[in-house]
Amino acid sequence: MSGLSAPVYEMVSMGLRYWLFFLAVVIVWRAVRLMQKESRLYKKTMRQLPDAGLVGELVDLETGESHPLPREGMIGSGHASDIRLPGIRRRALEMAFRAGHGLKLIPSHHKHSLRLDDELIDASGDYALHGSVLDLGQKAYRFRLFEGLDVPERHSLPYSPEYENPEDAWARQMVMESPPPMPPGEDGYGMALPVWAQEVQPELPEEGLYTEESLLPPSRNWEGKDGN
Amino acid sequence: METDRQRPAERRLVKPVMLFMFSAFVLLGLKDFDWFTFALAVLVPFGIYAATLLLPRLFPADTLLLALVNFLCALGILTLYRTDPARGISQIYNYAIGVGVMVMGILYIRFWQRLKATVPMIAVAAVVFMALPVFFGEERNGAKAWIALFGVSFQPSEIVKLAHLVVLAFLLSRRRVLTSVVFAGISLALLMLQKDLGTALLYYAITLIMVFSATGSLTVLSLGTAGAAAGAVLGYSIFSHVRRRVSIWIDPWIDPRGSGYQIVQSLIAMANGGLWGTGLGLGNAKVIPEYATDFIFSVIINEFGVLFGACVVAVYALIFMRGISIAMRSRSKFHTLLALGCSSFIALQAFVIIGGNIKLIPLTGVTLPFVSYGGTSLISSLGILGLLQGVASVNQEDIKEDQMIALIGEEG
Repeated sequence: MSGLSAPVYEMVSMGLRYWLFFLAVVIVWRAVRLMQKESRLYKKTMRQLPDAGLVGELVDLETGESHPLPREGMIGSGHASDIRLPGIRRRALEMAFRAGHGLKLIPSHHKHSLRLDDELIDASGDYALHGSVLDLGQKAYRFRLFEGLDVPERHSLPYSPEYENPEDAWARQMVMESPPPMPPGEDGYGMALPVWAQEVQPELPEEGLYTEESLLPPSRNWEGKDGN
Repeated sequence: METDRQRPAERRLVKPVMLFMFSAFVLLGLKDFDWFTFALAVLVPFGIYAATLLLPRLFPADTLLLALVNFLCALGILTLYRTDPARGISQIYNYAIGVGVMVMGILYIRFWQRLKATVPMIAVAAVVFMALPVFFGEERNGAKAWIALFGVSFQPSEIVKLAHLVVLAFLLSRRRVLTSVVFAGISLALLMLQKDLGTALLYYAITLIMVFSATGSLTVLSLGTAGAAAGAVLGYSIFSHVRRRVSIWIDPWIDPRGSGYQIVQSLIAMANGGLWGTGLGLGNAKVIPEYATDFIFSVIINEFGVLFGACVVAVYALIFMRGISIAMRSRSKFHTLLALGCSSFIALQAFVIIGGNIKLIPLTGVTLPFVSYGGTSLISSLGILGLLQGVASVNQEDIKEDQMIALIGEEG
């Protein structure tokens, strides 16, 4: 069967050029609109999820300052670090969240002597869990991970008679016991510090005149901000 | 991040793509009243519908990206079928294989945590594969980049693109910059030995982009750019065909019947097309020797016009922007770098060949992604898209997880 005659086909084809161009413009236009719409929706979702992409926070045990913890990144003092902490190497350690395991910490340099929960982190890395304490030499930081993350529970140290000493027990609690997982979206500032530490401290007596009471550790019945 | 509210918008995008292909194939069918062409007028739009809207139900993917890429693939099939029906049909088979590779790419990224142990193996295989044409390759257009295996001829450097992107993203995400540069250097050296300078240029540029993105170092960028300039000067002085291409680029009319024949015919074809084109089925771009591969953009402009060509360029720009958006939404460095590498590869390749066709830059022998004829080219382009789609689907899952965590937080 023969097709359209050459002049008729030419007319139809030339007429259809505008139709095909129009459709191409519609494709581009709709793609742009869809991209804009999707972008707005994404931004809206992100506004509703201020903690999106984060797994928790890293809290300075001394000052209570907290740093948001991304799923993956670098801790160091350099500009390229995701968490910038003063007084450490430019690239101190890498971290990456692994579901079911925790936050893997890998020292960037084999000569680093970084401690996680009082144990040296080896070159292959170690997993930080909720409540784990990272010792970076002069400063210590506590990891606070969000509730709902697939992370194993961290076990507290077994009972030991040495803990019976109230001073030792308090110190252990400060370092090792973890507060409950943190709900995302809440302000984590000060959560690492017990209530007594946030209150105004009474003025110390003059040097050489410390009373026995002023040297005692605070009560062990302190409560965290999250009510535990 | 796909919601029910978005789906009708995506359908609104797919409809004009389907209508475009239906109209174009019906028009071609009217020329000879060929029933097979009429059948394609139904089958190609259905294929677009299935690949754009049904596939993401099985494998989570970015529908907008799929719609745009399917438009380009269908445009390639249409142009090839109009110029040489056998090639058009062959391209449909290539597309089907390419979709399979794309799905594998999506799955590879989705199961990355389990499969990342395969990276060293992939790196070694990539180097071995890239070395094959140096020893067993056959020369085409001055480059010894092809090998024939079991009767099938293909270009290993096209397949290795996928491995190159994955390995570089993996190494750079772990800050192994030196190792990644060594790996890229081996690939580049092998490409230089094959005299496949166009592909070498792409590999170099992508490596530079990824290393700069991973390190943020201006020193790396400066050294890389200086290295590229030195390489260009060295290539010009060593390879005679580079000198010839540069001289053709500067003035193709010096030898319009010899070395400048292709580019001259390409420019004439585009000029003939004008703003609106000659009309589908009325063009004469077949006079360009490499009309199906390197010069397919000239064929498109010849028959559809410059304005339509601008729309095609806009589609590539949108694909690139979408890829960058996927990269920026990624939660892990590996995914960010991979998405950046994939989208840059597609955009850069499109720029290099379109720029070569319109005499903006010297012509290099690379294909127009998703459009040009060639099994290896289409399959590797769809494979790169699969990796990008994989990152997009991981992003979607991450957002779902964040929403769940936020919900737990509210309930808690």
